[in-house]
Amino acid sequence: MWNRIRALVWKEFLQLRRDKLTLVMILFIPLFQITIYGFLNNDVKHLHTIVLDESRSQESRDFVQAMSATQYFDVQGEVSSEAQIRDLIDKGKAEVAIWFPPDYARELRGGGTAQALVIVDASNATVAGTAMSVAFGVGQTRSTQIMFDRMGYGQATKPKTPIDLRIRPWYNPNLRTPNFIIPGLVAIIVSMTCVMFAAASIVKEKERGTLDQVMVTPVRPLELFLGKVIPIIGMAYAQMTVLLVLARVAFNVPIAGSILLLYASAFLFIVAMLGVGVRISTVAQSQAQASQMSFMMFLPMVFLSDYIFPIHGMPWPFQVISELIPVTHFIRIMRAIVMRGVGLEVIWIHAAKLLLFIAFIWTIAVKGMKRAAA
Amino acid sequence: MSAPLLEARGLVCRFGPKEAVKGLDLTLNAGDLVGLIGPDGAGKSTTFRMLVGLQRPTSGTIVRTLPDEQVAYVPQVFALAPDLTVMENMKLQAGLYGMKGAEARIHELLSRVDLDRFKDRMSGALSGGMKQKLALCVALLPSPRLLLLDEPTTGVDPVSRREFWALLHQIHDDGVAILFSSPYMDEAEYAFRILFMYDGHLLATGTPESFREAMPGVVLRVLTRKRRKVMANIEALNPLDLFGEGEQIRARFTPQDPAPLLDRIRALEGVEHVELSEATLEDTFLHALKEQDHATEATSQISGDVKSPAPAPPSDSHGGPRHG
Repeated sequence: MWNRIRALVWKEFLQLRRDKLTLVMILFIPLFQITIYGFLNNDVKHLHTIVLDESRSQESRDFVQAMSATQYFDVQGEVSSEAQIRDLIDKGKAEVAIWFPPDYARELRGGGTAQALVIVDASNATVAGTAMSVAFGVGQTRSTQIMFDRMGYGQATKPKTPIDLRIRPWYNPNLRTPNFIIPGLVAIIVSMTCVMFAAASIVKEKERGTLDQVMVTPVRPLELFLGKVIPIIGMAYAQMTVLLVLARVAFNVPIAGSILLLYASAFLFIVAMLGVGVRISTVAQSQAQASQMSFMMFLPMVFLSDYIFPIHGMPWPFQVISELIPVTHFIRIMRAIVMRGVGLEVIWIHAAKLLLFIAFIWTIAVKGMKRAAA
Repeated sequence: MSAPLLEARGLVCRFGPKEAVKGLDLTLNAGDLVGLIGPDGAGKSTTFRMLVGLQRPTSGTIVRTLPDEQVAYVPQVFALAPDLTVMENMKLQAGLYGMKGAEARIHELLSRVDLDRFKDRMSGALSGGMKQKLALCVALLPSPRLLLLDEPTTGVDPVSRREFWALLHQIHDDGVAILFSSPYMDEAEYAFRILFMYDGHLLATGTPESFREAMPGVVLRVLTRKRRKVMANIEALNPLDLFGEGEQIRARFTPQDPAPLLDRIRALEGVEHVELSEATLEDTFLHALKEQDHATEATSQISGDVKSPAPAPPSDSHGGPRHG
């Protein structure tokens, strides 16, 4: 049995070695993606900021100074009218504008309530959200400071704030995007490899008629199947290894948990995704159809798997779909092991869900294969 | 007599409403060289696929007394990996059959078909004839006792075809039983036993000699564009058979001297060309086809059902020809 499987695996590797385009895809797509995502920075800092200061006072300058000190706002210059604000934001030259009315300093000095306006370009929701919350924080801090001054407290007698809120971002203290994105990227790339190659390699043989030649030899269906999937499993593990090494070496992503557990759980994920690929191969009549169907699978994988967009904010039907997608669970496993360094006591539930998916997808894949062979 | 290598009884294969094979009986014995001859769509490839287990019959039985390893199959289309070299395809086959130390056998086979010097060439880059030789070598590698070849010479040039048939006879002389299929009537001559297949069933079976003996006399091939009128006129000359299709009419006679007959037919209105020869296997096939049509018509008239199926196919036998 193993001699026959070895012959089939040898054949697959020979064919792969000669398929330059596929080799480029296997090697370069992961490298390309990890490079992009590795350097990608989701931190919203250094927002282009303009100031309309009709107050022309020390107080307004202090506020601008406080905003700049956060590093979220880079003041590009001053403007002299609301029309100019609109023009610069329209043209995308500014993302934030701070507007002090003429009576800003007078109100502060007189003990009243001074108004200041922060205008944010909300066409990018991520940028707007961060800018608004940071600006609000700066405003609150300045207000508290001014209130204490009005109440006559000096630096030494200043009362303590009732709540001392401290925030500790665990597992990714610097909030680095690569730490968060790369474990998900590994899951996405491995799933692409498994689904596309399993589907394409079987459909290619069907199209060429070369499967018949093998089927009439003593090779059993299970051996034929193993001969097809073992090289793909090898490729998937190779890609995963390259990505994790790059993540660690080039992008300084720490791997906190057990590598062994990571690779063991990856096996479940690979088997699950191979099932999807094999199922596609039983339906698709051509390689073009197989790649179209594979591509259709990737959209929900990317958007509904917690990879980029948090799933908890989505409507419940999407949350249900997300739970049914194996990528979701492998991304959770990856993040749990890579970032949080936890073990089986945490990931077992996701491993169990992957096993359920494997049972489901392989049942229908084998049915499809039997129907196709009948 | 030893048990047949392969015996199929009542093979039926349906694809949805279409019945590709309609109750076929077939026996293959050691030493056989059998040609399954019929036009495209006759059901030959489906029959082969059922015989080698690639297609499950809708009904019927196939009994093979040989182990799987001793039955080799060469499909109609080139089914070896085009992106592997000649040698790699051979080695793959050796691996699939668990053959150790197969190098000597591989070189022997490749040398025999003059492919040894192309052993490092990609299989997809071989000519049609060379591809067929390679497919044959791959099939012969595990030393089968039964070789099934589905249209082995389709798309192969005439010179390579001749070489291929010579090679096949050598293989047969080595003790390998062979069943091949072909849409070409002239290739039926290469078989020791012929099975004419049409529309999913066997029309006639026999040896080339028995077919010729069953159609004594001469056959006149008449070319005309006034088919109906010329046919009526020839019919008046009382031929033994009158058949054919399209612009060609075939009439069989047993005259003492064919020259006057030839002159009479040439003189008929609408006759453009006349040729005379002994009955060929193609004549036998067309004659069998006509006989079947008559039988079908008769069955339809009796049952009143114009869509009634063709009469039960004749079973494959080793005796003289049997026309359906």
